[in-house]
Amino acid sequence: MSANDRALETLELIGKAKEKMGRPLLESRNVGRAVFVGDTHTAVDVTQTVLDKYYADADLVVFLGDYVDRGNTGVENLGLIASMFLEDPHRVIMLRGNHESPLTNPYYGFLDEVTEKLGAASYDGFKEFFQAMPYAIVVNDYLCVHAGIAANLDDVSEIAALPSPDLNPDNPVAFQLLWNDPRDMIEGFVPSVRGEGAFYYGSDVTQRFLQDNSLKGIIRGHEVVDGFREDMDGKVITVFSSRYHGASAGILVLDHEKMEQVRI
Amino acid sequence: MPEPSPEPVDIKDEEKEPEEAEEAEKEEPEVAFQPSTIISSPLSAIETILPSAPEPAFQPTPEPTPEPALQPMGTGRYYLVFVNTPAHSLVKSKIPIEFDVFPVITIGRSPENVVVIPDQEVSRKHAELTAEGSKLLLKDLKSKNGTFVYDGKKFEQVSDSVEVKPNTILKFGTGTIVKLVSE
Repeated sequence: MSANDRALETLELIGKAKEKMGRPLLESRNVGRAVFVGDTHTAVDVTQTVLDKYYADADLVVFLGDYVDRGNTGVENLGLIASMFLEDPHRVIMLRGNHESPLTNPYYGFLDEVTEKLGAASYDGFKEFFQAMPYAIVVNDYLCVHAGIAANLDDVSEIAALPSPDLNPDNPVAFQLLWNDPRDMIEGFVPSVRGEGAFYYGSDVTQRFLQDNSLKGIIRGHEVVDGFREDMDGKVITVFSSRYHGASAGILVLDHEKMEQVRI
Repeated sequence: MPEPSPEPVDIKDEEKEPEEAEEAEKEEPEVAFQPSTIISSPLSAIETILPSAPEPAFQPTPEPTPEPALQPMGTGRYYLVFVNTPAHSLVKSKIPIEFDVFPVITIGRSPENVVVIPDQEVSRKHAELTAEGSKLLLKDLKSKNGTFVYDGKKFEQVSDSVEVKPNTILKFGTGTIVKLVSE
């Protein structure tokens, strides 16, 4: 298959996947074995390894967003994940990241990549897909979301009521779900260096949110780490699954109560 | 592995001040940040710098041994804890502020500072901390991108010198945030 055919296939796949993405908050799940994949950012080989080695045994695979940008195989990476999703939408979750957005794609490579492979007009198809993607799901009492909790978000269920579609997104809560970062040395929400509207969320607000929502923790990506980082006494786990940063690509494998960190 | 593409400076170019020549020699890609826009995962800056991030000149001391003597003010020992900085391995690291060793704690990008911050948006000599009686004073050294103190809602720019108390969150330039703690 030529590169162009593969790119065209991705467009077709996301067109179909868009119809099955679900609402901003997916229905909570309790499973025996789940795999969590952080930002892949065009790392097709990481996605392929998940597919080859971890998919068969998993009841659920959660991709935490950021499939594109920072490389030139975003189209292929997105296509591969979308094909997994379409094969079994009940077993594969594709959450949205802050890089599934026209806020970032013109600056980090994906718009150029699409323009080169498919022509600039095709980017509309990707935007349609991105704004249909869900923000969060609770799996075995872990909130899975690209970046984290948001100021003015008290109850997880409020995510279900966020406006959709929201292209950038512009809703402040939706924006923060995709842009915030945990910092256990602070309290409350402190403006982040990522720009206006993004915050660090501190230990007190995180503990309260987890308690109020009867959650065990948060599984998120969004920050470059060497595979993993734990914050807030291990209650907030960052997983990063890319290659471009030159450090490990990690995934989390939850088997009943046991959470394993795997480098691939 | 695809090579990381150079980071965009920001979305609103017209709002970006031109770099001062003396601050502009870039060993590393520009830190992407624009306070009035979203964009840019400044993370990006971190991500890009990572493979060749400059080694910090100081050694963060995670478990310093307490030395109650010679501390000013009879209170606990002070530290700066990195909340964020482009060299992401420094995040969470804790630097002792030892006024008995350095009465003036200079903070900046160049290696002669007591606290060295490897961040292109931090000036060579950015700010200094001094103990005056029972007070801690933070002084901005006319840094290019400013020194800020978080007031609970927003980061207020320090025009000259300001008293800071434990648990104050400070920002140097656009990409480095530290918390002053006392133990």
